Amino acid sequence: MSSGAHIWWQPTGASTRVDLDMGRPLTSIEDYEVRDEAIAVAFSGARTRVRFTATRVVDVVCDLIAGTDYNVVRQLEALVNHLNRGGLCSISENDRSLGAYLSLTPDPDVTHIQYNTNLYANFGNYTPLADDILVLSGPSPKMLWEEVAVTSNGGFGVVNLSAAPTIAWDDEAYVFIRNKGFWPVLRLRDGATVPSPLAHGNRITFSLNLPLEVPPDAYDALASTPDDPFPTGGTVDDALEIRLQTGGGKTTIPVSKWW
Amino acid sequence: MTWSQDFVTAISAPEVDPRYLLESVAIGTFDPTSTPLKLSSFTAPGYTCGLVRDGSSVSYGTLSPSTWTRSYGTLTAALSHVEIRDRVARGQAVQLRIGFPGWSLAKFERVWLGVVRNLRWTGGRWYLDCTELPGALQNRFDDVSGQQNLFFNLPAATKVDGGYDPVVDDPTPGLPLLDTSDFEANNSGNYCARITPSGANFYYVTATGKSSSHLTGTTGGAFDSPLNNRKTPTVVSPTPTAADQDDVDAIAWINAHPLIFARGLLLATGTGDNGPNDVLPESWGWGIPYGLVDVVDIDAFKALSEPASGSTTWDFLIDHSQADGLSFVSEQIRPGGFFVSQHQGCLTARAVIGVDAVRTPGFVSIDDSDLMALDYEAWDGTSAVEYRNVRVLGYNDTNPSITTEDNLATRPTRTSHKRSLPQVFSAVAAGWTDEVAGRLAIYDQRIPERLTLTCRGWRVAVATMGDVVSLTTQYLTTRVAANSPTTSAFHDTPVLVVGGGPDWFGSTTKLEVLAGSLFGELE
Repeated sequence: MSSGAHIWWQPTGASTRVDLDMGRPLTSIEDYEVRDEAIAVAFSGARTRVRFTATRVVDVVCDLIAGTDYNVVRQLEALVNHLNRGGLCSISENDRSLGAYLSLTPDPDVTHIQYNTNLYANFGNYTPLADDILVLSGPSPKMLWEEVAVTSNGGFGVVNLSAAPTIAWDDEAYVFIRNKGFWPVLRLRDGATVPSPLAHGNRITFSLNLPLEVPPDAYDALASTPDDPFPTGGTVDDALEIRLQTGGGKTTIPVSKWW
Repeated sequence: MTWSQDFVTAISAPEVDPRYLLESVAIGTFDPTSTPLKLSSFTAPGYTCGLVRDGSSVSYGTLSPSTWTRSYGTLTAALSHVEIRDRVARGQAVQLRIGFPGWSLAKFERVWLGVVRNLRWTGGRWYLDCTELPGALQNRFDDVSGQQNLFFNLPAATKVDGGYDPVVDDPTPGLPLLDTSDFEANNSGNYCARITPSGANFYYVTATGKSSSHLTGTTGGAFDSPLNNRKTPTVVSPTPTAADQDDVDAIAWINAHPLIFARGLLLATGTGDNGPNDVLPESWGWGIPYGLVDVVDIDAFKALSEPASGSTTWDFLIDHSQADGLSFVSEQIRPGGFFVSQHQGCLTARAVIGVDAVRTPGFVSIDDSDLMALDYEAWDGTSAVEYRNVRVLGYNDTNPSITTEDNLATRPTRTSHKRSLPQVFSAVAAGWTDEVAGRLAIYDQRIPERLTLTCRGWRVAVATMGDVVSLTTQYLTTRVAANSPTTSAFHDTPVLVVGGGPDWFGSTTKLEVLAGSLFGELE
């Protein structure tokens, strides 16, 4: 399999998912946190911060050349159309696609974590390897976020880490884990102004410029149960869109304590 | 009924991560849509994730000093691209609940209760406009045509069937009537009739029961009647009799403290199933579900507004249906400084408190660790006139309770302000007139200072209209006496909340409060 970046999406109404191997790395992928919050400061200096939502903004740029990449460009035009109509996509800097809920709350004293079924096993692949970087995140507006490094695969969903997680995750309804560089759910960012997400120079050079964001409630809506993998066919995006709109996601807290 | 301690702790924290639910609430039989409205600001089972903070807002009403009339607040909810026209109807009750990450939906607390006024599409977004429920009580929540008014069975007229002489017929066999079916009473069986003898003035008869042909357990001449008219305190003795076929009107009679009167109408279903205070006939009240009415808060304010002696009740006599139930109830209780309001997401009825040494259910201490801004008026701009004395008197009462202030400190002034309590009859007036004068006179005799307190976060959101709160700040001094250069620090100084509330879509709480030189000290 190529080591190029991958983009997955399911065109609205289609029964199969598009798996686009870019054939080359992304030129850049930058992400940063955006909060919708209000801060109030009293005469004394005491402060209250009310956080309403928070999410990650993901700006994806990829430069392409017509001769070698035209088949990719052709599919990217369909992707842009899909996103412009409110569609979702998944992006990986490579072909790795771990996206799962942890089955146990991370413990600051424990140097391993355990996750449920990889919801994205049908996208790319994932077998934990030493030096992999995994990203933990929670669903609350606190936008808890932490990276951990893998030392070895413990089997049965257990991953050994170089150091225990440092954040107290106890108050989060669940903890989601993914490969660093793999974004399971992205959409065009509200209010982003990009005249042409797929610009070209005389149709010789092409530049993909996608201002994306993680829907704030995306990880809530991914699965109805912690072990609920996406189907290999069917209307995955449609189902996810419906879940994002109707709250058809999890009804139980999937994590439990180590003790 | 009040918010849980977990909720109060969460909204008082320096870091707050709210999540919102906006949903329809069933009241009565008014059920215009088959699908309940369930919107959320996050992914929640059974809810449509479509509530957006940007564009959402909440406003609050204000209580006007001296007249004690009030305005009402609104809520506008901005929605993403979700179609809800199949799930809302104008007048439908809705509630806003707030919770926090990790909370079950059942733990979310109601922070606002109202009804839908409109659904607008503008600027590429839906906006759901709502009015707070205390300001939307014009009608009953009933689908049946002709049952929208309070006391919708009134007026109801019948005739005396064979003659009635109170001296002979009280209490048994009672008042004989052609038809008793329209007579309704509370669950204690307190009936009332108004007899208008041919060619004479009306008078009232109370009863403790009824049969198909009689009101039984009768007492003729109740409420100081017979009267030549409601302005002339002439009691005719002996009580006039009634002849066959004399006109009789069914009267809804509620003998209760003004706040209990309001509570009874709010909860009335006629079944007794809507909590322990569901004691009035269905046709008289709104039938608001028990869980939406803060009976504890009502009881607390009742305890703070009872006369030291004499009767603790008023006698409300209603002879016709009320097309505007809200105005009706407000006008009935407003003379005593009572009003219907909302407290921590529930309906309540409260009394204006005289501030001195009183702690109300929403008492909270506010200081410079809360305050972000202070707006100040040395004399409340909505209080027009300062009175030298205040006279409170009941119906046909010739001995008003008079409260006099030695000096008139501002202009313009008037000599006397009269407060009339039409549901307090002269026989029991003294205790009530003293009580009302004791609570309200200070607002008539000294124009209070008015402050707008902008506070960080939602910690002080526990206080609402009618609460007394404590204010301490080094950034402002209080006026000790009107027109006097003397000032004093705001240090644990009691002030009365007359408006404002938390910005649930922002990070502040803004309270409108009254302070004054005649206010006392907190104990």
